[in-house]
Amino acid sequence: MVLITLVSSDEQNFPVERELLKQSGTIETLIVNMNLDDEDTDAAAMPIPLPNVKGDVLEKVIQWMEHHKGDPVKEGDNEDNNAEIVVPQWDDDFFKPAMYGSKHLELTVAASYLDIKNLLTLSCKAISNTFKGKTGPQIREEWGVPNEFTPEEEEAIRKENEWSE
Amino acid sequence: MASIFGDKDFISRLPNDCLISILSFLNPSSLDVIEYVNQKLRNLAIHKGWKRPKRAKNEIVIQQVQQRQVLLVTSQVNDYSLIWDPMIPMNFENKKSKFVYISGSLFNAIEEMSFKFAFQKLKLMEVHLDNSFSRNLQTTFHGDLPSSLELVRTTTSNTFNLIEFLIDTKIRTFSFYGAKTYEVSLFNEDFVRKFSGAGNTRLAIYRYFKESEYSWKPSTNLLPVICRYTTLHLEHMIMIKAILEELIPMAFKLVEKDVSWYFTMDSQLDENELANFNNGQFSMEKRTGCEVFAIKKKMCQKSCEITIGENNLLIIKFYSNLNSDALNKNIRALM
Repeated sequence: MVLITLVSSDEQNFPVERELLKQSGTIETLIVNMNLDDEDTDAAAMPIPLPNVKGDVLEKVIQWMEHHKGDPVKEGDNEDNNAEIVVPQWDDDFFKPAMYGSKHLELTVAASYLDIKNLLTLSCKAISNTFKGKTGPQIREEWGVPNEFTPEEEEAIRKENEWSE
Repeated sequence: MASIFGDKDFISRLPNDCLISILSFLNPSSLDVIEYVNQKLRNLAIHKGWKRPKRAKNEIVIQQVQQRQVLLVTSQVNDYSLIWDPMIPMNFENKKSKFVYISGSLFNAIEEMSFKFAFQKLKLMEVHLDNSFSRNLQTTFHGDLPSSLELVRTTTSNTFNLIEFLIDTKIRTFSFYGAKTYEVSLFNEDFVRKFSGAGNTRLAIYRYFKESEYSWKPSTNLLPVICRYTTLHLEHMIMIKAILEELIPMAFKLVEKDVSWYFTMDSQLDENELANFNNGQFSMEKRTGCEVFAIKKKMCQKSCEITIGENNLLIIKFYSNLNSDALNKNIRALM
């Protein structure tokens, strides 16, 4: 089994099975560019630096990739089918503990940076699920978002949308 | 990366592409709610650079009213909201009028509407169509016009090619009420063939006059094309008995869905004229008390009804299945 070492922004090393990394478009490109798949290349001696991902986040990303090993890799955007995407129970349980904190959002940003489409899709879907059936003030409260609008601005938005129902 | 998430408001600190991805999972109602959360999410929700999930609406109407064009939207039949009117000032506050002011030009207003709503039909009433209007319309809808277009008493400039416009904009259903004589002339056999060739199955041209130099008779070559239409309303197409006798057997072979066709018969059509359909292959009977003739083909589930209306209006309806609800409803209505 070929292992490739990922190095997080806080200099933690993560040896990861080569097969798992096919889920990440960014890492796959680096592997190709660094010729790490060549038999003559000593992959173990050439770690891949990921300066935009902290160690604890990278650990979660690897955990997610291990669970989804062998899943078909999503290609391109497929916005038309967004309504039909369901977050599987395992992923829901995986995201839930950190949902409203910084960790889940860092995981989402990491999925975007590493170009792991399935993780990004499920993570965004899980966040969007927290908005459903809520009012603006409820979403603000749950996500700790300060209210920037004056009552007049809120009224203007309400008027803009009132006829559209 | 972690340093940017110092505050409690983590979600606002997500990059825009991640936030857009999150918003793309929301339905139109949830997106309306998101506009209230904060300015960043509102700006993204109303940003034109992404494909926002749209709420379905019935019609968007551009209507000429006393020298000016106004924009209306309807979600139900005859329940119009006035969306844009250059004569009504911005501080208009009459809620009962269902008026919503959108600043800018008529085309800005359409763009605003088409960003949030998916319209089934575009209706143009008494407006003047020229190449500039057509270009603006296509730009405004980003080349994605509603699939159905209805023109009502519109006028066209000499250089405007209505038929090209219909084909280019991929209009699937086209209706024209109050077409002028010249405009009716455009909808000839060649157009019927081209419109069908573009994959369209619904075409309706209505006119306000009985006779016209632009009326035409179909050639036998057009009959397979007619059979592709589920709705074909061409009163200025004059049907003759010999052609009708070819069309009906062909339709029994080719028509797969319920269809309604409206033409004008060149002369009165009575039971005797249709007697040829009482033969070994077909049977014809006149329904009691009305000018409706039912034609059936032996060993065939399909059924045809021919009705003769005022001014020799010829209505041909095909039912793909004898047990279809539409047929049963029609038969009940006749009894």
